[in-house]
Amino acid sequence: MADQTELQDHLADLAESGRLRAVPLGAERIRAHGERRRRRRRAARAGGGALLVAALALGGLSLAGTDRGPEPPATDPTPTPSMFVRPTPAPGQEYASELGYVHGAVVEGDAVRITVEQLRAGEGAPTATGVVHTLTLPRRTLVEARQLAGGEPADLELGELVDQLAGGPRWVFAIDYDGEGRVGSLREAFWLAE
Amino acid sequence: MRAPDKSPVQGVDQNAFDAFYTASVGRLIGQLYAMTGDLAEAQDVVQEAFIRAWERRTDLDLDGAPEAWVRTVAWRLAVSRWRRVRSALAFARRQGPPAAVPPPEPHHVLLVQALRQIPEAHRRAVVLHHLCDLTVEQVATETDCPVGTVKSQLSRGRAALARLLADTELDPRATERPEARHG
Repeated sequence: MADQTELQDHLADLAESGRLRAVPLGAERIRAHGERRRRRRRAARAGGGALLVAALALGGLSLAGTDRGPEPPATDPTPTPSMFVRPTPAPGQEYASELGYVHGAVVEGDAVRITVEQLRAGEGAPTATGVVHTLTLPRRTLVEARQLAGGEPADLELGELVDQLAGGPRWVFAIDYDGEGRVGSLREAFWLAE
Repeated sequence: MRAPDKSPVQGVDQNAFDAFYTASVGRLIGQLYAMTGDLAEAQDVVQEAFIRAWERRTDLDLDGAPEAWVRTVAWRLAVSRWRRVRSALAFARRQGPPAAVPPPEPHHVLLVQALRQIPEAHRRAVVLHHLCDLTVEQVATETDCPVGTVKSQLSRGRAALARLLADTELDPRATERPEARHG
């Protein structure tokens, strides 16, 4: 390349070709996506607050019960059933995702408890990491579904999918955690089956 | 967009946002195309960045440098593999099959291939300086690098591109050579 002017011309030409070939969404669709995210975040905050209250109440009950009855016999500690560590978004990222089978859904009041069998994505089919844990999420937790919704992309609420997720491991989701460890949404990982 | 912790909230209305989006989305896609070498990815990350801009519209200051903010967010998305997959999937799902677009020109393919072979930081600096017309100081601010580092990245990036494009149709010597032979 002879000089910087020539480089500028080549880059400008390339960028212009990209601009002409791009087919961006209309502004109204961009705003609609943004609105949906705002609603989802608000719902997650509200749900997170409610869950925190519930967790504190349960914790209080459990602490209050510690002076009831004899202590269990001392035995060798069993291995922790779950090595789950909530994913943390990288700097500059909004969410960190966990991939896993979601099943065993059970309604618990305004929440749904699900079991997650964590998967590791890589070359070829995803493999199990051996980490299994449960999450209790608000029924209104947003779920982006496709096959679960009959093949068409749809935004659903977790509470609507309890029946389909009540059985054994069948559906794989990406679970999005925000910087405070709250679940923002679940996305059906339909692409793994394609 | 200003950092939320240091400015009075301005916010934008729908019309102002739409005007900003319409005026800058194509340009930003072109810039991210040069930075990433992948047009579909450039479109995904730029749109995702605009979605985030609208999400945070109460912090959005159109009198500031919103385009630089969108470009920075789009770049961060592009270099984050997982987010890149997510954005692409989300948009692909909602948009249906990709639109039929003409294939790139051969000389664009050459340039993209060369750009892809230089380090990401060098590529970003070259594009910001030579395509977006930012000064070295502005590039340093946008990339959060010292000025000296940016100068080094630019110098090395240009040298690498010159080397990679030597003897191609983008190398001016290739077109000048026959004249030299005849002269």
